[in-house]
Amino acid sequence: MNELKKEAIEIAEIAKAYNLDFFDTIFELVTRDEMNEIIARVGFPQRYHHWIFGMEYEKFRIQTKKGGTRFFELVINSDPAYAWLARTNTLEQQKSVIAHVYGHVDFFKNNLWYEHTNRNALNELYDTHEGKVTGYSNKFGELNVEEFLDTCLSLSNLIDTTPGIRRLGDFNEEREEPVVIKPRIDYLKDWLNPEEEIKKQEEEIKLRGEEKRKKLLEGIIIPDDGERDILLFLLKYAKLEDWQKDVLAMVREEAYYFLPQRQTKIMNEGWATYWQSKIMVEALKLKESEAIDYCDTFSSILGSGGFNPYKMGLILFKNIEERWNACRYGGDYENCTDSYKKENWGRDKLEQIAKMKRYERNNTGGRRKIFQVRAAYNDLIFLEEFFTKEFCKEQSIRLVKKNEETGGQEEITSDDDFKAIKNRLLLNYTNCGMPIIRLVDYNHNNNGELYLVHLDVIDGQHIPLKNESPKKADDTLKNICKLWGKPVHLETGDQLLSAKQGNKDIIVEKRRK
Amino acid sequence: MSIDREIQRFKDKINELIKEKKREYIQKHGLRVGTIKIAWNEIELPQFEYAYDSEISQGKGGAGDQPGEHFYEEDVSLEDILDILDELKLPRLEPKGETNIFKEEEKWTSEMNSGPESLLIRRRTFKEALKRSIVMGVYNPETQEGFIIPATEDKRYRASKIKYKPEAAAVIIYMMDVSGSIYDAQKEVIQDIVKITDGWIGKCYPTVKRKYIVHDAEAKIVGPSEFFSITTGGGTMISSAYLCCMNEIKNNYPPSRWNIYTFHFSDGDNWPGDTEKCIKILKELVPQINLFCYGQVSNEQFVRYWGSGEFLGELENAFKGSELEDKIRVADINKDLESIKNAIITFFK
Repeated sequence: MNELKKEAIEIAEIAKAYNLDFFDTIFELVTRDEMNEIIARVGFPQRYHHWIFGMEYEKFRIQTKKGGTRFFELVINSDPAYAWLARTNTLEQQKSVIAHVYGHVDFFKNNLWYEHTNRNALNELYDTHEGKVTGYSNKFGELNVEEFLDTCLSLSNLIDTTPGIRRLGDFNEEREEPVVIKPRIDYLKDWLNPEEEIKKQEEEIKLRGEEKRKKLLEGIIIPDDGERDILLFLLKYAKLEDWQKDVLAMVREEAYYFLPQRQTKIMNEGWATYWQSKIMVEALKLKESEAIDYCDTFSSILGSGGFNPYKMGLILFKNIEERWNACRYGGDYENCTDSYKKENWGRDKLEQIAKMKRYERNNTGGRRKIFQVRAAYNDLIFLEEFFTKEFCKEQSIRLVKKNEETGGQEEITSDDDFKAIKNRLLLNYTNCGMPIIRLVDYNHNNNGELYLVHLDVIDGQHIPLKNESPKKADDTLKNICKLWGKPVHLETGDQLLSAKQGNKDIIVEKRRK
Repeated sequence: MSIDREIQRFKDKINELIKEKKREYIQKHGLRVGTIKIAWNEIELPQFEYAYDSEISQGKGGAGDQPGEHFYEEDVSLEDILDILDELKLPRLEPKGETNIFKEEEKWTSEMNSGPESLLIRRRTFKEALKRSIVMGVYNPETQEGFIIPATEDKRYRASKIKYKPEAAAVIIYMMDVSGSIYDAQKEVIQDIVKITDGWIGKCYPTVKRKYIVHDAEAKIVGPSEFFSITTGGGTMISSAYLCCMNEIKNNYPPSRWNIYTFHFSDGDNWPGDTEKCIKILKELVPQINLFCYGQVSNEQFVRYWGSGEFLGELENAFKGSELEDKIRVADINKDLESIKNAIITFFK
């Protein structure tokens, strides 16, 4: 442990010399089981109780049993940052993982999209949230709270992913509590505050709240292009109990906390891996045995099949650095038609940089560019700008389609269908790969019904919502209806789904628009 | 902080889902043993998602895991089918008339003045002590002065009372033709039916006994394991089994005290002239018992050459319109499992 501490300090020094700027980081060694638990709770050692974390645990367990993924570390975005390292890592792996962690923490601290996140998440978000859920479970019944959480979590994607703008403002409603006289002697409390009086006050507060809600509803202005933060809308205007509002607010707060991590998956991993490789290979004088171990760690991160954000991010960052070092950008380069000249563009500059000493490279054009990218981009803009045709070809990135008949996969695009690949890739990172649903009317049919629109079109083609065994879109719509209490409509493609209260359960009707 | 609680709750959820799926399965496929599968996306919370028809792939590997992948498989067993039988809405079997079998039952409702300390009822003891103290003037309830000390005579102990409860008991008598014309395939079908009837009657009665009789031209009582394994080569005299069954009832299961259910399975072939004898015995036997079920298990090959057995038809004709008709249930069973289901419904509805 002490040795590891020494190493961590040493690595931090090197990272700082590379201009990385990170919060203090607290490392903790955890066993494999503990690690799996933390992974199941998306990085937190403690969260409210919900079966969904049990599911994540089982999912991960099955996945690791198949021999796929292995986690070396997990970092929490907070100040100070917390990093969990797997005890099973060897010392060499541990060193390289620590370097990786500093990369993440630098990213958390400096990337624009993380600005709004609560940097005291561990205590302020997760500890309090656990307390709240436990408290409500005791008071209102475990199953009730669980069922309500199910509903809220199913809607947790319905938030506004555009940065900085909270169109409906934020949610900080002051809650009215019944006035309770606090006696000097404790046992007089019940006598001084008779139950009927408290009940009466609660009724009044409820009535006042109802009126307030009605007034609020009259005054809502929905943006012309619709409201994206549907959770906030429900939070403000739906007829919910106080505890339900609190739980919904909690789910929304966590959704916003995790949002930047979902928006910068490729960049964050790429950045951390980039610095991991720089620090390990260039700065630490690795012994031969260590180098082998390091390569092993590295390849297991980068080597897994399918689409790999670690690999994509790392290669893109390296690619950007090289391009900007060689000045392969701007009109002159883009318009150059001589392929020999284009290929060797700026080769002299690259050779010059290769001769530079380690930290002198901090000021090269390439290095400056990647720091700029790390500060201001998210995955969508990152890919939009730097995912080039050359890069796509070089990495043999393809679009594959599942063949329904054979069950196998087949390529559906040829090499020159770069545009299709890029569009599809960008769609994966637009709104975190989730369909964009907007609320356009809250008083549809003049009956207080909600009208939602899903309007995503790519290449003039509408991408449908998943709604076949199980009926995900229907079920999600039912959940909105459950919270709103009145019919909810969703326009998607040429269909109109309407959820409303049936005889027994909420039912969904489908018709052509 | 352990995650066991969450995992447990998740597993409960899965079990709920499995139950539901099994029910769906049996409704769709009938009483057929099979497998159900659960995919991740069936247990995950619903969200708005795209239904993509393509995936991005990098390098040589294919696209990643499919989200619809099944992660859990479970067999639908006969036990599940029994559970589901509840939903076939079979009427519960009613014990006939008065039942005179009594079961002793100890109930700890009484109390006594002496007993082991572990059975001391503190509340009652204190009450007695309080009463005595007030009467003796040791304790003043108004001023709450004085002491209450339980003496030996105050002590009360729990005691048991024995109650006799009438209890319905049932005996099932299975009879089967084991002559050469019954093959393994047919025995499997019979075995399935026996399991289901066993289970259903077991659900309806707290105590159930079983007797097994095999016959060719002669009948004998065997154990449950032998029942399905014995095969003989002789001819068939069904009356021998019925006689054996009647003797068994007479000797061991007096109808006044037992609910008797009898099942007979054969391929429907009988010794010429024996059928009349059978019907004569049945006329005497059936009034004493709750139910007589006959399942004719046809052997495809034999049916092709000689036509199906005649016993079923003869039985039906003999009792048509008689007062015993309701107690005699006959079903034609082939390998098709739909017919098993029908047989169960005929037997018990």
